[in-house]
Amino acid sequence: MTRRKTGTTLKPPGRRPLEAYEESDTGLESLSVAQAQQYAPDPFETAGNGAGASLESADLDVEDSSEQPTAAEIATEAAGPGEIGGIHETTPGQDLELPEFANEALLETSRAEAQDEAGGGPLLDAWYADFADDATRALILQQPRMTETAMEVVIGADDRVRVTNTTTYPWRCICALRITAKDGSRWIGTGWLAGNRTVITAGHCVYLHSRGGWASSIEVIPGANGAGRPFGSVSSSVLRSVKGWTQDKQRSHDYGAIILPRGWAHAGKLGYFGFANLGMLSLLGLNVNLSGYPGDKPDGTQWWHARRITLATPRTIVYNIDTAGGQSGSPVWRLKDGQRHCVGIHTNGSVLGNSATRIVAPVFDNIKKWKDEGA
Amino acid sequence: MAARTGRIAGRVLDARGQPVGGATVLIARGPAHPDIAALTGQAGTYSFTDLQPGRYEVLAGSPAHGSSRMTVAVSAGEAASLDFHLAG
Repeated sequence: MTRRKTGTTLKPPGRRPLEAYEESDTGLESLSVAQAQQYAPDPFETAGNGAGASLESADLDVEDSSEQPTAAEIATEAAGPGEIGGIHETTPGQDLELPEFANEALLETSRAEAQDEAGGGPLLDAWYADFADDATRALILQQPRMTETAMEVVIGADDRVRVTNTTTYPWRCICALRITAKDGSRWIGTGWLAGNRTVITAGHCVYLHSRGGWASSIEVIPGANGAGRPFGSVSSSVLRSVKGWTQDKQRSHDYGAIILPRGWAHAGKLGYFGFANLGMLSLLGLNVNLSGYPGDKPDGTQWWHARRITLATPRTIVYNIDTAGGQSGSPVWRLKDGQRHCVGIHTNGSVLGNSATRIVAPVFDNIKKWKDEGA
Repeated sequence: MAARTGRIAGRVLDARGQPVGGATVLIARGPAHPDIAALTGQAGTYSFTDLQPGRYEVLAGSPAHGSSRMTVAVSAGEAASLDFHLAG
């Protein structure tokens, strides 16, 4: 496990506590000013300029995954099922179960049709109305090609691939979540191991606004496979998120974590995903993978899909990857030289493009803290 | 914020009109929404809140009762009622 800091981040003029993380177990709903200031401020927010520090092409921060590939693995880049990335792009018929119809050309047609329906002007996700500042909206409108997005949550033909063997890495690191909210309602989500006992997920999976706040309990099922639970399940009420989500409900801060109990039988045995803060230029057009537990498929089955990132904003990434409710919290990762680095935490579906909370510097730092907490 | 969003709420029922507990309900298509799915309780009820106004396609189903897909319009400050009657 290594951490490489190859880029630089701007020093903001002031500090914002939105990235100050909150904990469910201690009931720590608000931090003191001194406590809040110990956390790295968010340069994108305080700079107030969506085009500020986000145009680097370097890997700014990287935390490697648990699996260290051998030289032979790097050379052959055996990815699967259907995982995209690395030296060799996966092609149909090569360790894949793609349906007959998986047509990139259709996606391009769908995007063109969406633009025509909008009168030729750029399409802005309704998200931008509430969660983007003027600078971000201006940036998007200046570069209309950045707004080319998909029309449907499941885009064109449904060519998601069932992960049939969830006992292998990295699929066993992806967890089905059964969430019990404080008001007693129950929900389905997805999470991924970022450390021995740390599961990263969406903020709205651990803190449910309008449902009483912090979830009462979350059952975590690593590598769930239909009715099968190859690694059993474990429940936790030790939850983490950030004030930007729990108090301000900002979509840009929709991320959180579940810390599993000490003594969990599989702690440190399943491996974990790496994660990375990539610059804007590295993200645009990057092939990324997403796998999780969609509620429109047979209960407890894990499904993978992959596409290129079509849009990156200071705090989100948008892609044409097919998703459905239940996949909130899914890892969005790149495969490079045998390493798997999550670059986003899937959170939203939309007719204008499915999206993830982007792992930028303060997000990276908090995930690292939570990983260390669950070591 | 609350006045600018709406909600969808309803029940999942079987062919005899009895509530279906443990059914999965999710938004299959619509404006930006969290990709979290609801599980109905004993009363078969579900709800999604803080939704942007627009048209939503909602899917409900359970292994024993099959699935159903319906569309509903959500307006700001209003609750759209959407009950599912599964065939099984």
